Amino acid sequence: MPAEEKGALESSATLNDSDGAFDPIDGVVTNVETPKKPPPEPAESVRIRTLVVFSFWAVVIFLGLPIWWKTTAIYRAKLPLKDMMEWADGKACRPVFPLQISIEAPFLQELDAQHLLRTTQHALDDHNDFSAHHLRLQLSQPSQLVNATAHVEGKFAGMGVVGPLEDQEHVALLVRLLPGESGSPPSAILQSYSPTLEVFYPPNQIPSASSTSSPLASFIASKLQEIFAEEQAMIAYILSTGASSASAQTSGSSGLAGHASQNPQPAQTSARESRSSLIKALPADLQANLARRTTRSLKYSPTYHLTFSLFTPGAAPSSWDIENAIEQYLSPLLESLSPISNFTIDTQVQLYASFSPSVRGPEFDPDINAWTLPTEDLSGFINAAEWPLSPSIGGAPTVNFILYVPSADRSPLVVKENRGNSWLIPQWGGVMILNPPASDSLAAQTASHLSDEVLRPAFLTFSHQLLSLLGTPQSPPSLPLRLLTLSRVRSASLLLSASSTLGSLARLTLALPSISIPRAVAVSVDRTLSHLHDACASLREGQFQRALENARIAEAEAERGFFEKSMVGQVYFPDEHKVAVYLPLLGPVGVPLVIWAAKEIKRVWRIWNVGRAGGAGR
Amino acid sequence: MLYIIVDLLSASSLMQIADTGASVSSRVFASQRKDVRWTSAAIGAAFLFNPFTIATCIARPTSVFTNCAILTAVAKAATSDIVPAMLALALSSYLSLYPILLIPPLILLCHDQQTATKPKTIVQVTTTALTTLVSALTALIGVSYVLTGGSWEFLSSTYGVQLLLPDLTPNVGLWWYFFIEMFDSFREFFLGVFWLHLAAYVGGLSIRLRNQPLFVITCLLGIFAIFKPYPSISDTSLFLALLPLYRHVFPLMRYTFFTTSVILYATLLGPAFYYLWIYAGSGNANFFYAITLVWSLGLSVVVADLLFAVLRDEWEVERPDMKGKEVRQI
Amino acid sequence: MTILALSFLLSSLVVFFASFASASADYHERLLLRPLPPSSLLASFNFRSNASSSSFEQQNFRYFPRSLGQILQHANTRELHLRFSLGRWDAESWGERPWGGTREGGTGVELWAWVEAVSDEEADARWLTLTNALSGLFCASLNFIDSTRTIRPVMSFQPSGHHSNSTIPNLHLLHGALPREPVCTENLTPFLKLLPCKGKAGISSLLDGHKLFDASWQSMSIDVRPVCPEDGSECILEIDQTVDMVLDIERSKRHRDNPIPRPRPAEELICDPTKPYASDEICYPLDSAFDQPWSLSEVFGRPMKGSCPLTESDGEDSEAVCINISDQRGIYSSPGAVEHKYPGGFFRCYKILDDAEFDFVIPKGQSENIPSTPLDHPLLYAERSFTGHGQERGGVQTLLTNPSHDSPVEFVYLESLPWFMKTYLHTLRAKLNNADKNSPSDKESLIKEIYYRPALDRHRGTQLEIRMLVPAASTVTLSYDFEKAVLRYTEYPPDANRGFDVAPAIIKITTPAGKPPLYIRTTSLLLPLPTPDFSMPYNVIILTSTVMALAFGSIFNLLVRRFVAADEVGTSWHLKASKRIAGKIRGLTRRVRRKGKVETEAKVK
Repeated sequence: MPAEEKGALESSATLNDSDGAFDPIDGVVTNVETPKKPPPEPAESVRIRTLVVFSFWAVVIFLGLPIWWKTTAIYRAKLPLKDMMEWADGKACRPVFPLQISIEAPFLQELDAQHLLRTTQHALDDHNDFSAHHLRLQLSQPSQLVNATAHVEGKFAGMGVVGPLEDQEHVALLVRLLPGESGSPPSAILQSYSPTLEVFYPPNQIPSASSTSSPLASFIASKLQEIFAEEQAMIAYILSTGASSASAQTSGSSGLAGHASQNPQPAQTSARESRSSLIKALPADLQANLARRTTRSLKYSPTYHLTFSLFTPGAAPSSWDIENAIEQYLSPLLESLSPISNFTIDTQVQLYASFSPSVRGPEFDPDINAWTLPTEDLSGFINAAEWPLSPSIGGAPTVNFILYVPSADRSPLVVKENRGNSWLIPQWGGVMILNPPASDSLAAQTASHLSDEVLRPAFLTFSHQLLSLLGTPQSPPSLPLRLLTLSRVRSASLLLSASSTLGSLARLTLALPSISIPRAVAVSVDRTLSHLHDACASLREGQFQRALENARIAEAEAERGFFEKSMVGQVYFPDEHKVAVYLPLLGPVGVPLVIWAAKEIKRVWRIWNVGRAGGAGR
Repeated sequence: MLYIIVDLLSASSLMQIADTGASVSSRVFASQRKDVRWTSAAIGAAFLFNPFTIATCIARPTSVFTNCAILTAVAKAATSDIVPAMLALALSSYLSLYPILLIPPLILLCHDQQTATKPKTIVQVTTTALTTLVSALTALIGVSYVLTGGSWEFLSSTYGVQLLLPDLTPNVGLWWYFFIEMFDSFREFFLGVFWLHLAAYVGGLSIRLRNQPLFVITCLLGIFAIFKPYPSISDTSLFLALLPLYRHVFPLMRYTFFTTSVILYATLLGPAFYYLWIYAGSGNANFFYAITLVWSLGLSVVVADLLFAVLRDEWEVERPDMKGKEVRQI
Repeated sequence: MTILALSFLLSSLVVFFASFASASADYHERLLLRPLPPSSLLASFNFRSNASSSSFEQQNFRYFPRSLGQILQHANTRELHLRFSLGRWDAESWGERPWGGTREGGTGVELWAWVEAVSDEEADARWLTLTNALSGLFCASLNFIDSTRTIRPVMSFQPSGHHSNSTIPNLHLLHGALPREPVCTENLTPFLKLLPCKGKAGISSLLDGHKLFDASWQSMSIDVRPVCPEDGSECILEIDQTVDMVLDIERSKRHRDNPIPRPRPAEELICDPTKPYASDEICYPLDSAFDQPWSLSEVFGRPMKGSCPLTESDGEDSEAVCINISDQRGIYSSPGAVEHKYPGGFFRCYKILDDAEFDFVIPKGQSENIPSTPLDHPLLYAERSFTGHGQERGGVQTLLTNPSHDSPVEFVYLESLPWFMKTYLHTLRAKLNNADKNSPSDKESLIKEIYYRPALDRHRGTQLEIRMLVPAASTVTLSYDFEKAVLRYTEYPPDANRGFDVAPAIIKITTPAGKPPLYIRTTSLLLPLPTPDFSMPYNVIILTSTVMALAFGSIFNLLVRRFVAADEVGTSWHLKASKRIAGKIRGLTRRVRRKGKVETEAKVK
């Protein structure tokens, strides 16, 4: 039998080793009184013992360790921490906003137009001091002008308000040069329904090819400047706050994550230089103004949920012509907002809506013979406990618009200080008090039912409130321009918020090594990074729609990754408790195993030594 | 009635084992005390009239079938016809999973017990045994797959129950209370540890006691009776059934009185405390838990003591002059 | 008496169908009062408002509550039934349940809905969102209705609304119950907020948390269902809110002045003079509400603040308050209210002015011969209880009694049991108790059909639906055994020794075609489970581990150590140490002795 033979061989090998191995025992034995000593242990049993120990250890190593690893390991997906940090510090991408402005001069020769364009461009570049946001002029062919305007007209006729964003998204503004009557200074009209600036110039002011500057060029330049002043200011403000917050986060993170060396200085510097480049662009009052507006406006989301509620203290009016009102007064605006956000609408009628006890309630003011609300009551006007204004379920944030119809004996109801009847609640919605019209015929039918013409003022107010809640700038009177500006501003802010979310996620993973990071988080982080890259690139190319799309997706993905539930699912279990759980079983079991493993190893080592010594002696 | 028949079957195979005398002498090993034995009839009677066996038969559990299959497998192996032994083992492990751990000693037993003039080598025996076992198991599972209408869910709900211990009903074992109180984050780990603890003995025993595979089986059954997931007194009765085969080493056991008294104590007090907890409500779970601790301790002492005795016996074969002398282990 | 009963049935049916009639008005509310023996009063409020499906789709909510509507749309729920119940309906003395039991739930919270989904998984996900949203809306822990408490009844419920044939195949019925949930005021407040008139006007102004939850039985229900009129006009979504409460008149009247119950002075006691031992000092107290004076404001603690102006201004729907009491009983109502007596002699309604407080007083019964309001008896009595003792096994037995003398009752019995209550279906027995011998008494003839969905540990509970039949004038005992599981100690509630609540059984009595089915619910049960010692995790870990380590260590040592004779090994170290110490001591003493010797020699010199 092979086994037996092998055993025999080994025994012959191990016998002489073993008695060498047991010399010290003999030494021990000899100095005790009893001279008897145990016979040398047969090699067979030694081998068997080795095998036994080995078998136990084999079970421990080949089965125990994998089980331990599998059952108590925490899965942590690999995250590109460095890139995330870079994005958070604003080092990865510096958003720039090159605005294409096309000039059409159908009644100018090519050369003159070119020259005019060049001079205007010079004038612009001289004035512009904010590098991230600059205007680039280009001359466009009258042909495309024609069909573009035709398109514009068509849409205008079609739906009242036009946001021709998609067909000419590259072109931020259209400057159309038209000859006016000579002698008069040049004048400009900004079309309020399309992003078009019509400049009427006296023919004699066409700059000759030699002259380096012309009043017309400077006039156009200043016009453009003032049109885009507010947008510049907003973007500058957003970038500065984003950078400063990023720098603050990084400085905080360096303390938190304990790697103080690498990132703070560059972050600080980048933040500093960006801020320094912006502070001089922003006067203090403008900055404060912007701050107020941004705090008031809602956080961006791809869809908003509008809730229109009719509240009345009594039983009437109990119905309103809401479908028509929304159809007529609101949907055009929402239509033109659609490339930026989608909206869902719901409405409700709430009777017997009483003020909250905290409000003192209106008091009668005889000299204007109206009931007046003191301003300090406006904050508590919304009776959050009683009125069912719960935010609607689903991810979208809810914007509440409340139409309050005071009871007949309490009307007209106005705000005490400014006699106004509507106000805006930051990041929440707007309130409008609708006093029943004075004329009895209307009042009679208003008592039970509100017709859409009664609702008209309310909804105009609501639409303005909605615009300012969304953060649209006021300055250029042209709505499409404002919406374009809004899209740019939104994409900037989305970019920054997504990157800062990435940064905080990175710092979280560094700070808490014990939380698990599922694969979903890694996936969404990767998506975020790629979309951020795209957004940045398309900003550089001036394709703001696509930039907005990418930034939106990036933001959503970043949020999803950051608020992954299973990351916090695993409970924290302190280490001393782990010891108390492991030790009672594994300690007593482990000790003999370890001891005998050590003995065996010692024996093998000694055999090896002896063998080598013999080899050396020989 | 059926259960009585099953018990009789087990008894008969037990008597076969006893007749082969594999416990005292085999081709590779023969004890010095091989003449000190009980007759197979006595052994069978000891099994049949064991109070644990009778109680099991009355309770009518399915573990009786497992035991019968195991005993048959051992008997067939003791007469060294491999295929039926492996079939029986496959049946038993198909019923309750843990007998699969008995493969190595059974193969050894088959190998040692063959009486043919030119015996097969260990390799041949192993190959035939393993092929038989695997094919039988696959056949059984395949049949049940077909019977359950082509879904594998029965695996999780049968062997999953054995492996993962979802059912924490009190029994004489150590698992249930441990896993009632165990923290969730460690549950899987300790399930693994307990199973490994169960499996770890197989290798060591069958290596150290290479010459007495039947005793390895006995010892393993004893360990299973203590440490398996849902132990019951039927497992104990199985262990106690194989115990009399080693009548010849009883004199060498050291703690006979202690162990018997401990087991009796646990046997008597266990039901009492269970009643106090569950029905009378005057005691809480710790009463019964303590008794299960004592019970497991007693059984493990029995196993260890028997192991000691058998090892001593083997050692005396090696050194006949040491008979009856006091020994020490180093 | 039978005539009276019939007429009363008529009148109550009038109410019934008035409430079920196709909704002409957009809002309708009605309070029905009915005295119950011995001295109780059933007040059942009903509010119904509806929205056209188009406006619902556009989310223009007028009377339909916006918060609920959005939840329904978000969870694709086509039909919803939500119940908050408390107490026990005493069928023996109170007779038939209001609304035929269709508007009541088991103790605690009960919710079932038809969710539109293409697959079961999707249905489960939407059910989850539905329960979570509703728990937020009603301040109830509905979000604890997880997969272990959710069942999909097969026979017990049918959609009560009209669903288009395209949606029917995608509708999933899910049912969940929380028998443990304590129904309380914070559930009433959101309930009232859903009403167009909020508790400010109309009959809802009578609802007061203290009275409602002081009642001996109360049930709040919300049913949302699509209703398509027969004339093919646009379908509407109808929300039907109901509050039924049984007030003890004595108790609710007492609450005003002295909340603490005190024995009444002797002269106020109503004695029964017919008793033989009746005399001036011996009084058998006779409490019957029928000739007792009471008024709305006394019973409800406040008068009614006008009527909700959204209701119809004329016609039956405008009569907001109705009462089931004999016409011969005079009732003084506050001015302005128009009384309208219905034929049958036991039913009258009041039309109430919009902005005047309403109250009425029922004076003490003038004459003895005023017939008391008849009660129609339920078709079936059901009682469920635990049998057996000990915390290892147990049994459930339900007594189902059919009082009628001629007609058998067929019904569906639904049990939804938690997973740790492991039922043995083979022990299911249906026994006919007080049977005349010729009637069928074996299981097969009583039980027509069984739908059984076994439990999965920690995943789903047992669902048992039995369609069975009780012969006339007999009682059937339905019983089965179960085994109690032992849970992990993290799965026990904080008060583990209180026990676990088992949801009530739901019994749907199949009535002849055309009439809606009747429902009965048994009381919930309290199931005690064996509990481990919650203070012991570390002790258990240590003790068990010690035993295992002992066994392992001894066996391992036996395996790896080597036998030698005792006299062959060197004596172990402690022997040696003791020897060495002994030797040292000996040496010391020897030295001392030698010193002594030296000194003596010196003296000698």
